Amino acid sequence: MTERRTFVAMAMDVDLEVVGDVEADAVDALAAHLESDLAWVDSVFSTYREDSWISRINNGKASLGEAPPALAEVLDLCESFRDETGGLFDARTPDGRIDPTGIVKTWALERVRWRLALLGADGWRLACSGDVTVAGRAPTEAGWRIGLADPRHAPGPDVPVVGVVTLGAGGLAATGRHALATSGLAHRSGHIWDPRTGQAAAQVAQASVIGDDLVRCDAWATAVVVGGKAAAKAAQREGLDVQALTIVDGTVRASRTPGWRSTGS
Amino acid sequence: MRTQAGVMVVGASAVMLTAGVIAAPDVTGAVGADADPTATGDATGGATDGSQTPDSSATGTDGGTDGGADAGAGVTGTFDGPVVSNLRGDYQASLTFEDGVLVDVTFPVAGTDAPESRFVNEQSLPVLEEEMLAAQDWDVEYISGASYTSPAMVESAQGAFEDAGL
Repeated sequence: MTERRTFVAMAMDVDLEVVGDVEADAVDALAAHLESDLAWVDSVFSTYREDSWISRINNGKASLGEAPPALAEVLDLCESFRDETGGLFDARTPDGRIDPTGIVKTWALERVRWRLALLGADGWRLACSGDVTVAGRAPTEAGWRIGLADPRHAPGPDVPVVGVVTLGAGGLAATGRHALATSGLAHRSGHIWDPRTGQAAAQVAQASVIGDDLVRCDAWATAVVVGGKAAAKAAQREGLDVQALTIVDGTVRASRTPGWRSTGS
Repeated sequence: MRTQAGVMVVGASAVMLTAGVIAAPDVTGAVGADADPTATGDATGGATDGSQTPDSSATGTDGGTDGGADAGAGVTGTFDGPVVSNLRGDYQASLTFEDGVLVDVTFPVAGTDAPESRFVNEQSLPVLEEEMLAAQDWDVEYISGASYTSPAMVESAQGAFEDAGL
C-alpha cells in the first residue's frame, strides 16, 4: 500500500510518499504536522517576509540572542559548511546580510524526520523541489528511483529526465546514501554568486549530490554549482557522490564521481 | 580549517595533472585545460607500448629528473603545474612520476601555507567520469529538479554587478 500527500510549504511543493500498512488518517495527520512544522520554519527564516526573524535581524530590528535557538543552530551549520567547502557555500551575501536560505529547506526536512519514523511505515520518501530523502522500503523492488531533471528545461512536473539514481538501495537493512540534493543556475533570474571571486558562476548548470545527510548534500550541491569540477572532487574527498551537468552546444554533459550510482543511462 | 581554500586550489591543479597521466584514455573529459600536454602524451604512449624503445621523451620537460632507466613502462619525470592564485597567495604543484606512478608532490610556490598545503600529498586524488546525457522515458518515483540556490543572494549579486557597471 502506498499513500501520497502533497502540500505547499515555504512557497514550494512538498511531496510525501509512505509505503506499508498505514492508516490513511495517520498519514493525513502526519502531513498536517509536517505542514505546520515547515510553516514555522518559514516564519523564522524567510528572507521574503519582513516580519521573519532573519529579516528583522538583517534590518537591525532584532538580535540573534532574541531569536529562537534554531536560528543560531542553522547559522552555525552554515559556518561549518563554509569551512568544509572552502568558502564555496557561504550564507553571507556581498552586501553584508545573512542569507541561510541555501540550506534552510533541507535542514527543515531533516528536522521532521522523527515524525516520519513514528508512523510505523515500511518506508517513506520526503521531497521538496530538488531535495529528496528516503528511508526503508520503496514502492517497488527497484528501490527509490529518482529522476534527474533535464537542466535545459524549466522545473515542473513534466520536466524531461536525463538520468536516474536509486536511493536507499538494500531496503530496510541498508544504512546511508539516503539523501539527494540538486541545485542549479536559475534560468531567468540571473546567476549564482561565486563568493571567492565576486563573479557569476557559469560552468555548472545543475549539480546533484548523494550522501547520508540531506543538509550536507544541499550545501555541497551549491558548492559544486559555484566551484565546478574542482568542487566535485572536493566533495568526493568528503565521501559524497556528485553529478555535475554542463550544457555544451545544447547537449547535456555529465561529470560524475565514480561512485555515482546510475541506472538506465 | 581556514586553510581549506588554499589546499583545495592546490589539490585541484595537482588533480588535473595527475588525472591526465593516470586516466589517459579519458583525458579530454577528465582533465582541465591546464594539464601539461607533454605529461599527458607521454603517459598514453608509455602505457600502451611495451617495447623497450629508448624513450627520452618520457622525462619531464620542466626540470625533470632522469627517467631513462625504466623508459617504456610509463612516464618518469617531474612536471610543474600552472601557478594558481587565491587570497592566500600563489600556489604551484610539482608532480614527480616513476613508471607512470605519482611518487611525490611538492610545492615550488606555496603562498604562506606550505606545511598545510603539503597535506594534499596524503589525500587520494579523485577523478571524474564524463558522459553525454539525453532525455529519455524512465519509470521513477520522483524527479529531482534544481533548487535555485539563495534567490536573495542572486539578487544582491545582480545588484553588485550593476554597481560595478557590468
